[in-house]
Amino acid sequence: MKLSFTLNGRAVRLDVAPGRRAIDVLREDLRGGNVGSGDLPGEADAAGSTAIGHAATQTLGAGPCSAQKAGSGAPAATASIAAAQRADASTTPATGTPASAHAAPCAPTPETSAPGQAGLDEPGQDAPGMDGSGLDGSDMDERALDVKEGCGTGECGACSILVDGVQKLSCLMLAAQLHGRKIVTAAGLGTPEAPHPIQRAFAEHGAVQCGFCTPGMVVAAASLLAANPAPGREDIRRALSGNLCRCTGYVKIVDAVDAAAKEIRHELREELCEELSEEMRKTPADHGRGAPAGPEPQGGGAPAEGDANAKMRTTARRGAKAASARPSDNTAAAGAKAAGGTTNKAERAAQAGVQSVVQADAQADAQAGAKQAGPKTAKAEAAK
Amino acid sequence: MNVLSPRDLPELFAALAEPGARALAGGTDLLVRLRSGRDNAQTLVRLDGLDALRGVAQGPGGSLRLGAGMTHAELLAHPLVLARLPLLAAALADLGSPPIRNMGTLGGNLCTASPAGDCLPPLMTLGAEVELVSASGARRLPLADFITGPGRTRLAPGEVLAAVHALPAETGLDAGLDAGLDAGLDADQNAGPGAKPGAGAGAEAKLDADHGAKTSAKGSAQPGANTGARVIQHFEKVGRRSALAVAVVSLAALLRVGKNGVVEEARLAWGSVAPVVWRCPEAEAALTGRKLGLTALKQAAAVVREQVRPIGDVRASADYRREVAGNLLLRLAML
Repeated sequence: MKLSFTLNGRAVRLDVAPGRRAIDVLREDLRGGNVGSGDLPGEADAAGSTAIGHAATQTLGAGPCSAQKAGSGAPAATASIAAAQRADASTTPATGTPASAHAAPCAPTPETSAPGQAGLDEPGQDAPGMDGSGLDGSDMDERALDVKEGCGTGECGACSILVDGVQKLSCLMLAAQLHGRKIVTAAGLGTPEAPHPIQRAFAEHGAVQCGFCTPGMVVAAASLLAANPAPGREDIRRALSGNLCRCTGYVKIVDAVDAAAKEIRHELREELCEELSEEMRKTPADHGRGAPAGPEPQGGGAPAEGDANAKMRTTARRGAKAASARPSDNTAAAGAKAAGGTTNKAERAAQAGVQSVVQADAQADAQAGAKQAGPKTAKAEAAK
Repeated sequence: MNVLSPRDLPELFAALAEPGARALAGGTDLLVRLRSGRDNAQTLVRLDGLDALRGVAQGPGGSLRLGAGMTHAELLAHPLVLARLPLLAAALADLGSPPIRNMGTLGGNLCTASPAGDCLPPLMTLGAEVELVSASGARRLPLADFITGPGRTRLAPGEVLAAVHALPAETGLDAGLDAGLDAGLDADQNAGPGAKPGAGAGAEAKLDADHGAKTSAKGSAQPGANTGARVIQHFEKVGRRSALAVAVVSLAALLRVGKNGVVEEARLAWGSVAPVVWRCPEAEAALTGRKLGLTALKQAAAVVREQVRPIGDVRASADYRREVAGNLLLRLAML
């Protein structure tokens, strides 16, 4: 089956058996391509391959993976892949350059040339651990750290990905279900150089110990903040309840998500206030006439502040509407720009759901918002 | 393994006719079973691209049609479900985990027919019906008849569950109550059933507010406008932990209580204490006509413990289940 989807902003085209598990297809792609294709990815495809904006289109080779049916069920397939992964991990030097890390897994070998047969078709592979789940340490390929397999049965959340912005479990999805979708993994949320606020908060709050659950936790947190930018601690705990961590005891993870939510709200507010004052400078005539500022009732307080907040919300909603429209990334970027900010920040804003961020924020921090909007409004008035 | 992705019902029926075909909804159960060799489907037929299985719509007589392909999260975010089927919403909020709710579907939960299926007790107390479609047409069955045992349903070969029809509990109880609810619903309905959530600012705000309320309370008691009559809709699930837990025992309760505090009708359904959802007419009778309070509830709980015949398994002993099945009724005194 010919699949096409975007993975962390990069277009992916594959020819795979539709009954393979999504997690296996994704991990294989993240590792740099079909081990059987003999197609050695370049250095640029290594650790950085998951960064937003990496535009390489990969076409995995045909061969066994292209079969619509992969049911001949070679029982050795899963084991040999696990072996290949172990080999991969063991040949990766501690300070390994991406190029050397590639060498082992990408060498075409007879045993690893039929990955299309691993996965669902394989009976008796539900025990976590030594079955290629990665809990035995075989899953530490540095290019595919962002989609881990813990339980393989939907109970641990380690394989969480965002499918069109919604947290799903890639171990319980078929390859066919990736088609036409926008897939984002933890690595697609940010890079080590430019981490997502959630990722930075995890590092700063010590929310990472062994790290196995971390990508799934980050994805779950991103899914939460997109829907609810001002969650309470209980909301956070509920939202992360499908992700198991056996190290941290969760307190630091909840702390980190809490902090990230605050940071995202703060950033958005700053950007929106900037754009608001820009707009008001441009159109001073609108201001003070009770210009239509959306369906919200005008605040009873100082008219200027009520106006400002209402306008902020309207602007943000407009941006977020456009941003949430799929499938065009261009629309998202443009919409997020309308919501204020640079493209980079705006993309993040789009992911976090500008619309709800601002609504909740305007309510939760009405005072702070008014304070910030106040001086700028005054400035606008002065300009008038 | 072959995977087919039909785009409409005729394609679906053709796909289901393939040898070894099995319908795949959210995959949270079937894919686990396949991987462990407990299922031998040769061909998976995806249901996730079928519009006929989607949506929530108002039907005749105030009933709601819930598309079987709706995920638990989608139902939980739907204003009509939140406002009209709080009992189902309470169960959905406790089902699985957030990603499971993003994947699993209502139809999947019903057709899996687990004795512990979280949607089953609420829908049973609501007297829900299932809508089954096949190449030869559509038919409707009471949910209670549809599920015949653990993992067993009356689904015929080539047939799929298209929708669930449920009559909201408040319908017809009291004109004043209905009017009050409708007034509260105005914002949502103006957005229109076909409109995307968030089409109107009012709907968004209402939805957020509903969400907040629902997650903090599992039961709801809706007071009638200017009367003391009310409908109590309560769901509680006891599990080993609160998320990702298979129910040890669950209870859905729907009580109509008159102005004088007397129970006029009681509908009770337990999960995980029998091969299928368990009803206890004796306990319902023990509550009906009595003033709702601890005394009546304790007596009904004793009836439950006497009647229920749970099994012991890896999650709990039979004795524990029997005790809890009765005790869950006592919560109704607090609502």
